[in-house]
Amino acid sequence: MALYFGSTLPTNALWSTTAGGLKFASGSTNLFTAPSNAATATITVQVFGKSVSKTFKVVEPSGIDHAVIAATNNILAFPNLTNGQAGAEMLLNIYFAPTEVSFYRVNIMEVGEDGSNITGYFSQWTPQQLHHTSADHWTTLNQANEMNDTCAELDPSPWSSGGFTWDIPSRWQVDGSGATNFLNGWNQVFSIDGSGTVTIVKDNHWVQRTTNGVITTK
Amino acid sequence: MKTIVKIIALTVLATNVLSIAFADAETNGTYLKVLQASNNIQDAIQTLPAVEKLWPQEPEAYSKSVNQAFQMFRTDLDNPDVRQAFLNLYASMMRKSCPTNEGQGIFWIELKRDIISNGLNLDEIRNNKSQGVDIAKFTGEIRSRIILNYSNQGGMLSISMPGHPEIIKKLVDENERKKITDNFQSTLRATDQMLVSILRDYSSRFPSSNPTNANFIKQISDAAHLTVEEREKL
Repeated sequence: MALYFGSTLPTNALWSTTAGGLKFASGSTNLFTAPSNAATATITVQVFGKSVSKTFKVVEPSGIDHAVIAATNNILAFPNLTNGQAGAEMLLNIYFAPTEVSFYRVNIMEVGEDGSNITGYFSQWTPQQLHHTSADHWTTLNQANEMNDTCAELDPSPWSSGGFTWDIPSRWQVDGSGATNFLNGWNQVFSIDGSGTVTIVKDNHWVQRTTNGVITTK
Repeated sequence: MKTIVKIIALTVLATNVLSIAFADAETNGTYLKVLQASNNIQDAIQTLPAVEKLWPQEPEAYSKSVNQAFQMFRTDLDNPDVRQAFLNLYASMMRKSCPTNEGQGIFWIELKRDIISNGLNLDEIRNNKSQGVDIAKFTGEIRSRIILNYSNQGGMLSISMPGHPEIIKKLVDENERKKITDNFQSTLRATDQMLVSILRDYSSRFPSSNPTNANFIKQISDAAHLTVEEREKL
């Protein structure tokens, strides 16, 4: 968070905080980085022996607040699906709670796990081959506590019914702090039927797509 | 290269050095000298001419070396030698443009922003109109690289393509590149806000109501590419 004065200062201001970090000890501007855990931070700035303080309550992300389906085709991070392919894609905008505070510059990471609850069609692969390999990368939340999540699946023929699950532990950190914190995880469920209709379920939403491109969502 | 590794092994900063090892031996050597001078500001001052030679071929090594020197200087600006070295470093940074590589650009912009913030503690910079114009030029440069109405292109990937791990790796790599652009644009916007507030601070010290300042206000407004609304606030 940028800190500065609305008008000119005739001298250097001296800054201090009870929690988190300030980029500079003195100067007319400063940058405050919130602590990497819940805390109360009081920032004090002193000019000519007079001081002004401002207290901030710092809260931690508590998990996913809600998600919105933003797109179900032509998603930037995934190749376009064509007729005859068994696959589905869903771009979710995920919002983290509590939403009355800003988690700007908080990073979120899904931790990759092997596939579980593997049935039918997906049994031709080992749990390790169904590992969540696109996980284990940090994504930064924007000022609205939101980030994109591209959920997608593409399955080779011949098809038969089956399914598997990713149990997804998750982590959060304040960008640049290095300290990693636990967040309640979630899961993502993939399934397919014998005609190649694919369904992906995540964050209380699902997308279903037939091989001729009919898409249904909830 | 063996010599460099031996030197690294002898320094308490080994971990730091190894994480930022540059390909070119001479570049590595210069960066090492700056790191090894961390307990002696005079030594750090002596390394500055060598650091300058890293630009423009080695923008990352240059930025990290300058940052190392800056972190030393900023704690001792009442020392006349250090103050002069800082002013030289400041002037040198202000003459240079942001690297085209966005990953390097993020570090560069944040470093330049921090050096400006510290420089404003010094009368030589605070009370000098030409320094205000230089900051306005930097603001203009930042603005020229901001993409209007930009929304993040990278994000989380939750993709299953059984039997095709190489395609997933390619998608992940591309996504990570997009995140760098996202961070670059975010850094540009945050820096722009801060620089505009600094320019307002300058304009309040040199108000345009004084005819001798009118040209200065116009100069910084033009150089910073300020909007009509922003110009009215100066």
